[in-house]
Amino acid sequence: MRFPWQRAPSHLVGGPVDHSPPGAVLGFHGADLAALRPVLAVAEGDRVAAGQKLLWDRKRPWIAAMAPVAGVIARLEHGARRRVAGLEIRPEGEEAVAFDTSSAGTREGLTALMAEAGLWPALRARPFGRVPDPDTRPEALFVTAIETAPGAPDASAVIAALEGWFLRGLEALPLLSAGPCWLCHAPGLELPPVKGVTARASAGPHPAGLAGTHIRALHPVANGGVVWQIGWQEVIALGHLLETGRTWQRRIVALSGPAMARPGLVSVAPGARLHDIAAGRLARGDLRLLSGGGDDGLPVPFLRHGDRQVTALHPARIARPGRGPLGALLRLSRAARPALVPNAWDERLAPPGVLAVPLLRALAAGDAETARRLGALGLIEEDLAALNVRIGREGMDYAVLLRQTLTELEGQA
Amino acid sequence: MRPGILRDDLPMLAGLVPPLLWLAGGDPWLAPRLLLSAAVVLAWQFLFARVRGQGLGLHALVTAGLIAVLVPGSAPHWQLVLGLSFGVVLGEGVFGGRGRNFVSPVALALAFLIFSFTDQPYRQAVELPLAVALPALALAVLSGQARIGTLLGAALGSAGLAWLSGAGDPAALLGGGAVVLCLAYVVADPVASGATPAGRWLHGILAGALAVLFATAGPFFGALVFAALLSSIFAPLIDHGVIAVHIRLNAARERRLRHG
Repeated sequence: MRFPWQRAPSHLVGGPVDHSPPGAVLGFHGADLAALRPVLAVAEGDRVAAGQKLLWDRKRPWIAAMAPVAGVIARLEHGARRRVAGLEIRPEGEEAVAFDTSSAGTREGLTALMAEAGLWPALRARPFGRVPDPDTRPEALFVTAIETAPGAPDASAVIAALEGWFLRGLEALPLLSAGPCWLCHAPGLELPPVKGVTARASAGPHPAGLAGTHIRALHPVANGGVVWQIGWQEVIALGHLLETGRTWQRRIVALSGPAMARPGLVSVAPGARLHDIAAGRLARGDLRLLSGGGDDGLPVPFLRHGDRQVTALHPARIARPGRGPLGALLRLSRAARPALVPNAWDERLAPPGVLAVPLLRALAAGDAETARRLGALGLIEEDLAALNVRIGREGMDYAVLLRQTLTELEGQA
Repeated sequence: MRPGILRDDLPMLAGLVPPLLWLAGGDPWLAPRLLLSAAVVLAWQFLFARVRGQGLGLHALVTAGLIAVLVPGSAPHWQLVLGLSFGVVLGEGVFGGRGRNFVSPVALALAFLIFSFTDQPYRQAVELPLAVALPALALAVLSGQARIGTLLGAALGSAGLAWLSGAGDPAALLGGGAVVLCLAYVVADPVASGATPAGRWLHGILAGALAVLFATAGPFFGALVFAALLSSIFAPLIDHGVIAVHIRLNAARERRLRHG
């Protein structure tokens, strides 16, 4: 048993990067394709090249999904209301779309190229965490080049290995922003200075590596304003695109978790099936594979865009009270809406600068105005994930409550 | 540590074991009193869980144990039942269970007993040596429930006011184990004390100062109970002020950083 005052062991995953073949099928989970009105450009059975656009949103064409590798559309499942529920690609062949990067020196050219290559959804705007409109400009742009979540890849090591592409992507980013472009990295990452980009080292335990922490420290948006954030892997992908004119068909993910027998870094195709990625590395017995970290990962079959981790967990032992008086007593002892009892050890995981207990109480009560005044606009679900996994319960999921509050605030804005 | 019985409930229960053992040595009626308190609290919790879906928790046993320890041995059982019911129902049950109340049910029950039944020495602290109550204080702090800010604030408030008014020797105020138990479990109750760091300090200072103030009219233990009750009523107001200041400071900081 680990006591609270014992420091958690260093838990970033480093080491050599194994190569994982694309596997039998890659895909997108339905929720990832939750564009409002998708326009499909392909049908089942079509051959697609790597980088080819598969579908885009009718109203916002910069939100698009492109084929991660060349292959054949193995399955295209339609959902309700003419949405796409699932799309799977069987990798085959080596065709890749060649993008014209000559006009990427201007803002219009760069945004058009990123939208065409499907890299634009890598950007997220704060507040609310949506994909931004390319015609708007943020007050600042944040590149998150540090990971502090348990089991995350060691971003400094991977960036150092792919430094050329990272720097090329970084050079292009200041075009997008109307203000400063911040590079937030771990101490120890030595990069040559890039024009227009201000580097800042940040150290500390989780959640020091989250974009929300850096935004709050450098350019808070809880009272207005818009900033954009992008992750380091997407910057590498952008640099690869600008250098070679083709999309990057690999992503570096860390395999970790208590049920991962052989953790490590793997280079995989985006959208690869989690079981193919983790093949040969899992412990025996039942387990769950999550795309993302243990805090906010989702049990989807394919690697989601933007996720840098695959976590293997032992199955959650959900105690289901059986019949009989003891079962009835256990059922009675579960509160319908569990209340928050403040505890010092939980509040350490709160996003910095935010009064944790009043904010959580405002979220639980649905008090959007108080939550806004306490700084909820500067947060998205990943900022509350570490806290939520501790104190969130079935009837009281603080990430869901935050999203409901943000949706309400978005409607008021 | 992760939330759960091991972190939240067991340390608080374990902290009550030394006082219970100490008192059981001199008081043969402790065990029946403890069982009666537990039965009353659990019965009310069961009722609220059935009717309102509030759930059950081991913290009910902490409430029952505290009352069993802190009331004098001569207390009639019917008074205990009334006082506990008042405290648990109006202090916790009607608001939605633990976590949604704003006063400590133990403070409310003791206050009810003190002002309703003047024939029993509820105001007097039970004879408990300091060493018996210190494990409870340590466990409450280590489990993260009693915050150091509240405790230090209470010490500061009481010592400060005692020194200012010359009312008495500040160190003597902390004489009893019952006072320490009340501090750890009632004044520093995580739900009834402040929700913000500065709010917790101010709540502690208020509780300590009020205790010294009320102690001019009676024993210190009774004064501390009423002081805890009053300051936990003021805690949301204190938090409101702290939050308002925090918002102002953050807005100024944000303006500075965004338009810098």
